[in-house]
This record gives sequence, C-alpha cells and structure tokens, in this order.
Amino acid sequence: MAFRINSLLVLIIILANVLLSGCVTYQIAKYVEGDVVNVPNEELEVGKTTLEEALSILGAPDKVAKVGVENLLLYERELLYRNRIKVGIPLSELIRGNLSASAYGTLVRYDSLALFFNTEDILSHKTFAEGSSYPYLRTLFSAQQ
Amino acid sequence: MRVKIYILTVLMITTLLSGCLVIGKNKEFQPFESTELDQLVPGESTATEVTEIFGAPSKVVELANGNAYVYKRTVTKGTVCWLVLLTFGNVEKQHDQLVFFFDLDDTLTHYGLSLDAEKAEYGFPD
Repeated sequence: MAFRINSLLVLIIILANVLLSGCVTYQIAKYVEGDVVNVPNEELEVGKTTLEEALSILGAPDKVAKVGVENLLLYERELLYRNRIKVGIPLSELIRGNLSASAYGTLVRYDSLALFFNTEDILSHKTFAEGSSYPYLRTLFSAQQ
Repeated sequence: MRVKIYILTVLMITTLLSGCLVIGKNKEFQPFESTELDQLVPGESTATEVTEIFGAPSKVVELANGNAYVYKRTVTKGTVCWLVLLTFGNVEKQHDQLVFFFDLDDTLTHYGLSLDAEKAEYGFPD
C-alpha cells in the first residue's frame, strides 16, 4: 500500500510538472531608476542656499527646467512594482486557441525633491514627496487616485 | 524505501526549481570624463569650451537666466528568474550626469556632477 501511495505521488508530481509548467504563474517585478534621494534639510535653507551650494551637496539634478521666472532642479527616483498572476490552459494541441486569464497590479512611485532658484541663483522654495513611503498593496487598492 | 524517498526528493526539487535565470546589461554610453572638469573655471569658461572638451550635450535646456547643458550616460542591469510557478524580474537603471549652467552670455556659472551608474546592481525584487 505504501508503495502504491508513493507511486501515485510520483505520478502527481510528474503530471503537475508537465501540466502546470507555464499554466499558472505568479510574476513579481521591480524597476528602479535613479539613486536614493537624500534631503539635507539643514543644509538647504530657503532664501539663503545658492545654486552652487545645492549642486555641491546633491550633485547634478535629474531634470532641469525653466518654470516662469525661476529655474527648477529636480532630483528623482522612480520605483515600479508589479505583481501578476496568470492562469492558462494550453489547448492549442487539441482545439484552436487557448484559455487564459490574468490579473496584475502595477504601482509606480516617485521620490522627488524639487528645488526652485530665482534668477539670482538663490533657493526660493523647495518641496519633497516621498512616494516610496506608501505601501504597495494599500496604495494600489486605495480609493485615492 | 530510501530509494523512493531519494527519487521523490529529486523529482520535487526538479519540479520546483526547474526554470532559468537571465541577466542582462544595457549601457547608454557618453564618453565624458569627470577629471576634465579641472580645465573649466566658472565665471570664465564658455559654452564653446565646454562642448570642445565634452562634446555635444545629451540635452540643452533653456533656463530663466541662461541655459543648461546636460550630459548623461546610463547603465541598466536586469535579472529575470523563471521557476515553475514563480517569475521574478528586477531592473535597475542608474545614471552618470553632468549639468553645466550658463548665463545669457554663454559663460559657465556652475556645474553639478553625479556618478551613480556604477551603483546599478543585479538582484531580486525585495
């Protein structure tokens, strides 16, 4: 009897290996662009810090733009997380077409430090958004757009 | 009995671990050397001198009090691992970036340098 049970188990494992391979998959993906954005609040003083000081502290910005009569320096890190589940039954050997269903959730978050400089190259205002502090599932399924 | 357990273990391991691993690297190359910054003097050097040393910029941005020339190169490292039921994918993209700021007379006022391209790593999503 013990032998029969084991044989059955072996058969199940082999069948599962053959049949489930590629039929049910769960995918976890992550994409990161940019280095960690550090915000040295004590060293960045509005009305005092110069462009030269900001560049020596933070390095080259990821984006530079003209915003009205000011210049914007943006330091940014992008984080993308995606989870996907796919269930499919490959029937192409028997009939035309396959049955499959999949569901996925993608969340892109940004850590962004925006520094605005006036034409005298003095920091006029700054803002920091830490998107990475928001948890994946709760943020993905929250009602907030 | 031991043989059966051994066969079962091997089958389970091959079932669960069958798959493959792929790693890849992309490089968007721009041949600038940060050591050449020593040749430039803010307040004296011009945009022409900058382009003679560093070549054509990746991007030119018009600013409120001048222009910015952006030099950028990128390294991307990707890791994908397929198992029977699970697939992991991880891509990390990092940049080396050099930004020169010029006034309206095309004189260099400031520059900023970030060297992060080497920080790109292979790995799994955490």
